[in-house]
Amino acid sequence: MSGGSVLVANGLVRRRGDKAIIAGASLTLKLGESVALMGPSGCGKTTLLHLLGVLDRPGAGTVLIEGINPWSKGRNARAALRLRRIGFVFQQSNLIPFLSARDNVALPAWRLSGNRRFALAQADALLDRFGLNVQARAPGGVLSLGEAQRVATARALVNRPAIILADEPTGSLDSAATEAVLDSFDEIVRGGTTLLVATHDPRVASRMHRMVHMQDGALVDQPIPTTGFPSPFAALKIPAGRRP
Amino acid sequence: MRITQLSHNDVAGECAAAFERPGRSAASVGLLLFLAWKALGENGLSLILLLLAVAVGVGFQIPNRANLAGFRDEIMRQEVSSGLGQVRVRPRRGERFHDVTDMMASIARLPSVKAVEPILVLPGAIRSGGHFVVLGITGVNGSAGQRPYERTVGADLVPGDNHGTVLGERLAKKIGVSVGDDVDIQVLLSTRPRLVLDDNGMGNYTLKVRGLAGFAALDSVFVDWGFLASETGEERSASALLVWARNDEVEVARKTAVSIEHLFPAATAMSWLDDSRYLRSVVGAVQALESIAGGMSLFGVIIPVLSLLYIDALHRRRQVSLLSAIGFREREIFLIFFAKALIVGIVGVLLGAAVGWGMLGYFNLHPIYNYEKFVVRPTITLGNMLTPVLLVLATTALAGSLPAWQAARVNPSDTLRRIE
Repeated sequence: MSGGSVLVANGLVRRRGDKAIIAGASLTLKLGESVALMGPSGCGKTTLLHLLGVLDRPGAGTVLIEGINPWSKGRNARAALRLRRIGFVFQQSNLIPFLSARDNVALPAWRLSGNRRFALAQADALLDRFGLNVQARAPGGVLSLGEAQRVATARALVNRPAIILADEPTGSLDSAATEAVLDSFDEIVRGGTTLLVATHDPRVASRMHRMVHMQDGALVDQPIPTTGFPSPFAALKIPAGRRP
Repeated sequence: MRITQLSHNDVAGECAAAFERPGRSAASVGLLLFLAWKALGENGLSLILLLLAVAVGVGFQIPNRANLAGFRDEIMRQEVSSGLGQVRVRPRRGERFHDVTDMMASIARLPSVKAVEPILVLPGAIRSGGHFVVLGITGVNGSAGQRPYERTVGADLVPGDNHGTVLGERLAKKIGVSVGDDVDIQVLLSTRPRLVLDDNGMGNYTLKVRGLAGFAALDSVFVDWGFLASETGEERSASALLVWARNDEVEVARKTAVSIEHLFPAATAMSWLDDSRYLRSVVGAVQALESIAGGMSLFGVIIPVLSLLYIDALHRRRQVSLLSAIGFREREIFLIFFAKALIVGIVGVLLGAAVGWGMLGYFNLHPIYNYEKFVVRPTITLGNMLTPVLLVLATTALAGSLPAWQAARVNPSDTLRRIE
């Protein structure tokens, strides 16, 4: 790890056909910071998240997760990295529909520990924290979008990853559900986990520590937008100069 | 970190310890089976169709194989065990052996031989009332444990029986006689001049029908070998020696035949399969039917199972991608889908075996063929039960491996990019 950086991406390039979706994107995520990744639809936010989350291989450039280049390792090592150090929250269809909310959350912990009882205990604790214990036994396919996103957030957290990558997690949610998900993200960040959220929504961006904007396949830092929504840092009483 | 403090009190220590330890490098079998089982249960109709495809394949194959084996066994019993034996020994030149005493003794000493008996076949005719049939008259040893026919009605010939005969059932019906009736038999005893002239070498006898013989001897006439041979003037002569081996294995019969030819170069010895074109055709036809029916039922399993599991794998690409994003390895995703096929295969073959067992009971009570004492009942052996079960199970696993491989090769990034 370089200077408290959990993730360092440098000069990432990803092409689809002749078109460069990602063209030299660089980004550093520090331990415990939350970052909004903004940009118009189709600009490559999802592609970038997949590159950073080791789901897709960059055509050029490097990604270091806690100082390790996953693409210098084998497929099993990359799978292990995703299991232990990276959590994903996608826009929708996030859950395995034939598993209950509880089993969905427990799944990564069961995979990691090999102990179902332990994994379910972890899941119960997280569902309880996110106010989802009533829905714990419901199949993933019958939960509302907001509930499903919060269950997915709990699942992303269950193995205590270093980074959570969220792709438009509130894109399909109403205001109340969006607030609930953002509250759960606040919990994540307060817990010391790094969070990168791809979003269109200025309200979401306003809850992050900083914001990067995707432009022509590259990333540029931008100031946090003022939306009139309360900033999580105000609640935490963290002075602006000391924000990560 | 607040989240780390969320565990229930009683498992808090265990949780922390579990996160500190390295974790499993591979998913537990229990987890993979859990996911496979849950995924199967998601679509009841699809599961029922899969189980039906497998169960019908096994349920059809078991009685099919057993009935074909039963047919082959009945043919073998009638034509070989209760027929002409596993090895047939004839003179290389001429019509008969003039004295088979030493030959019989030598052949009987071969380790693979259970019994050896002479037969003497002479041209002749049988008459009763207005009916007259030209045929071969066969002399069989009245004291033999093994005879070249299966008696179905009445009594058998006994040694020195100069006045009795056993007729084939169809012949008896044709000439209108039954057990206890008398029949006139003419036998061409010799084509050469004889010292005592007796109607130009013809022997004329009135014999009492002692019994009737079944399938392989439906049109035959049997008399006592000692009696018939003595009438020819050569009391130990025989047209052939019939050799019964200790089992029906054609290789055993062939080796026995080779040994006999080695002992008696003036004789030809042939296994039942080489001697009878009819038996060779029947055995070949049964094997062909077994293969064709077996192949058809395997195709009947592989096509629906492959199709349903393949469609299922396509349908679950997003779920597979989520598993991949969570950190499941390709091999583990393959194993989840493969386990689904195995669960379907195991449950399906158990259901199919139960159905097959029930059908075997039915066919045992209601044979598929029952005519003139030729009754085909299913031959129930472990092999006839296990072979379809294992073949269908292997086929199901094979059919499941392609969709499983397909699922494991899903590109998670491509799939997750799409909004569904």
